[in-house]
Amino acid sequence: MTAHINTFGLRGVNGFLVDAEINISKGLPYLDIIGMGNTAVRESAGRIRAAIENMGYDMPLGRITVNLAPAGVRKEGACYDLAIAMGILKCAGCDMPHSGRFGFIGELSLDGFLRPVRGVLSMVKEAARIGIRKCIVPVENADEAALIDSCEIYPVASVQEAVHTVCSFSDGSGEVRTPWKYSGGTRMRDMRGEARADFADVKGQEQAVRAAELAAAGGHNILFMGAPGCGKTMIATRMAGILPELTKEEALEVTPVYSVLNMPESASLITRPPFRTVYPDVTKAGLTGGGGTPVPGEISLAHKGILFLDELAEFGRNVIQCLRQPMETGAVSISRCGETVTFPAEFMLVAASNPCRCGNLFENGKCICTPFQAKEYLSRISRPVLDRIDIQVPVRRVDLENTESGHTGESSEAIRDRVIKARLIQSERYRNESVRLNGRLDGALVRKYCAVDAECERLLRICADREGISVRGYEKILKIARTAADLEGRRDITSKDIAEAVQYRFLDSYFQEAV
Amino acid sequence: MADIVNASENAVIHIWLSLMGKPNYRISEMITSSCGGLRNAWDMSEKRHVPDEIQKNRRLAERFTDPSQRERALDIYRQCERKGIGAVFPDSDGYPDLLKEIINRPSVLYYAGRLPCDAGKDGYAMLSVVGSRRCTPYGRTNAYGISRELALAGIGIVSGMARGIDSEAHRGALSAGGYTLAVLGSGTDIIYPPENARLYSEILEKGCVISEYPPGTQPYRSNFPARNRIISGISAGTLVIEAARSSGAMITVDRAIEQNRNVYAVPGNITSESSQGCNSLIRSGVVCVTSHNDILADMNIESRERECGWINGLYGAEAACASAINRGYYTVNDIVRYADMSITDILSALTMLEIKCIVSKAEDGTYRLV
Ligand SMILES: Nc1ncnc2c1ncn2[C@@H]1O[C@H](COP(=O)(O)OP(=O)(O)O)[C@@H](O)[C@H]1O
Ligand SMILES: [Mg+2]
Repeated sequence: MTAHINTFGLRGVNGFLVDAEINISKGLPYLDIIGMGNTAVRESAGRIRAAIENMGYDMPLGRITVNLAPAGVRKEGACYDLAIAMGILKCAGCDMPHSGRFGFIGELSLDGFLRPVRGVLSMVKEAARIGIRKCIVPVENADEAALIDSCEIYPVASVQEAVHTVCSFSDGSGEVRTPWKYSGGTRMRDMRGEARADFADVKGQEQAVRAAELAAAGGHNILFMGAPGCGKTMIATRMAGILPELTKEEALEVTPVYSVLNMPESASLITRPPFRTVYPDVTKAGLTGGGGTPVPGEISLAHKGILFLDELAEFGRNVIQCLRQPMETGAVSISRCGETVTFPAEFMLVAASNPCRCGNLFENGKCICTPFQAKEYLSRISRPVLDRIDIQVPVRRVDLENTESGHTGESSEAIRDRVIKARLIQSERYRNESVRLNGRLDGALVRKYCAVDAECERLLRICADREGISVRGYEKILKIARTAADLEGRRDITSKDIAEAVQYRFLDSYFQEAV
Repeated sequence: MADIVNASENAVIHIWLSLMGKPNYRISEMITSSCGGLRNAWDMSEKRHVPDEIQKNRRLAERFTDPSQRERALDIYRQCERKGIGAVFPDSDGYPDLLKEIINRPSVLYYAGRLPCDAGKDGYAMLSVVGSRRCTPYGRTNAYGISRELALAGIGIVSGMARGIDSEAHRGALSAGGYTLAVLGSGTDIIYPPENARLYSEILEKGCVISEYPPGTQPYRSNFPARNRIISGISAGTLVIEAARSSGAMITVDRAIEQNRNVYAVPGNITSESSQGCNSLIRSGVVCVTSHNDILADMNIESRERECGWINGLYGAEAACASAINRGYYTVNDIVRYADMSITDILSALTMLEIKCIVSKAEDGTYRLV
């Protein structure tokens, strides 16, 4: 006798359908699980046997073979337990004619109760995509699973409850369970407290705050450079607070990344753009993802949000180099044992760095580095990555006691309102393109959308003559000018926008001088 | 010797004499007079005939007759020819007049570019500007600004092409299309510090690089204090901008005082270490300089009031920025606060001012008036 049960596996951040086939044939009692499972999968035999018996069912006699199809794809984890148990019960004669309309997800404990598993959101998302409209999941994963509207979720606590739920659909008694309603979870925790940190706390630093606003509005990568304690981290951490809320669509791309890592954030829909801080001691795998079974790294956790690299110049060169592909494509691919997994990684890069070894280069004569040491320090920053940082600003210490320089700035809310408006203009303008933000425009698109008049052309030419601007530098200026115009709701880029944009190529000109 | 014509013969002998020891002006004069002329000295050396006066000093006598010293002089001469480096001597045309007056003048001066007399500058129209290699934006601004103004008034700016104040002084003079002269502690063909390569070639083109060391000499640390006497000696006066209490610039000041030249100093912040030297000079009575006009007045040179037309041509944010910088607000944040205008207006105004060559942006992102 054979039964088929739908369940789901996880590859990267995507779920995939697994057909658990169960066959019972004559022979000595034995439970065999095949289909490229890892140890956790193979060990489910023990858990399932105990769970079924402890729930008061009889384990069928005979040789039981479980095949997890497609058999050619690696599988791991205990999330198939429930499905296999259901299949065995069905084979053993439990009447569940509608079981084929369900997907089953969950790990079993020896007493027959369910434990939560990671990646439920991705699995349910896949279920909905391929037309499975009902899923049975562990109670703890209910809210997460219910984020997907087009799938009915039936949380269960035990194998027995799962059986009853499925049966209630078949006996026609009319007593059908109602699907779980998303309870809103616990309101998502502030990510790194950014919701509390407000730009109003920042004293002075008009230049850096303006640059942060531009970067947020256009999705430009940005670098703050200045002495320790001048407020780089302070400003950077406040940047998440001026980004608009994620759309439902974006939230459903971001939350699965956290779900796959079983992070508490995924208990509810992530609606604020994530903010992830990375320090120079991060490993390559920690940054881009990896591991035996590849799991997402920080750049994927920062998907649709901000990746903050603190102390950019201290990062290892090969760690930084791995940012190039994701910055270009918005995704990262990891190959393991002949399988390639792709994680989303469309982040905005925010970086902070000291300007020299002692950090005081901009602090009026306090620097004790030789010019050579100062240049050497900056040259540690990977050029290809620097090339992709549109906005570069020097930051100086503010005399916090001095009331004159101590007046506080605008609130994050006021800035965010302008950012939201600018982003709306952009998504309207780029509705037929694959990009959404000025910061993501490339060569051809820059020419198409950042056209300027003769007056601006003249200004650009003068600037180029004065300090030499590379093609990429030229594009950066146009993109920033486009964002400056969008922030003021202007259709055309004016020479004033260009003149402002020129001011953000601080390091580019520094390096140009060095060559 | 036969292959070298008369004028160059003189040069080779002068170079040879300068190799005889230090102080070379005194030794070469002693040798010349005891041998009864340049030519005689060379001939006696070839014939290993040593006058009594030289014989008194055994080391000198050995060197005097050593054929490899004569070879070396020929070699230096050929190198100069090949590299386009000139050499002048106290008794030849072109040797700076004021430098002739100092007692330990170099007996050979190697040069590249145009000597002051060829550029129409006599010694009284030359001023040296010296200061700390590690200077503050305040010092940079002043070194650049005052040198520029003085150059506009027709004064040649002398300095040492070191980092910091020196470089800014040269740049200021060059920006006004003026004459500037760099005195090096290495051969005139050796660029030090290396990041000044562009400045070096600009000075060569529009001014002059001189040194008492033969071509190819490396910038030995010990050369620099001696070099300072030439900086002060070639100029009518020395202006110090930012110098710590004991620094190379203060050595130059000592030489200038010994040579009976004028000393000027720009006052600085009393709490700033890099202004201690200048402030103590002012306390001890040197001329306190708060504008280039103070120097021009002291040197009896007609002061040329700078027309203020440039600031009249500005309006709005550009005018506000210019006057903020003029008042010593160098960073964008300070300018924004002083001008009380929006950051976007200020940033674009700064670009426009840069394009109009009214302000320039320093490496550290601060702005100053050009
Ligand atoms: N402009 C400022 N306004 C208010 N507080 C500031 C400012 N600059 C620095 N601080 C204070 O200094 C602390 C250190 O700043 P931080 O951002 O950690 O410096 P950095 O990252 O540049 O080393 C901040 O937590 C804040 O309390
Ligand atoms: Mg920090």
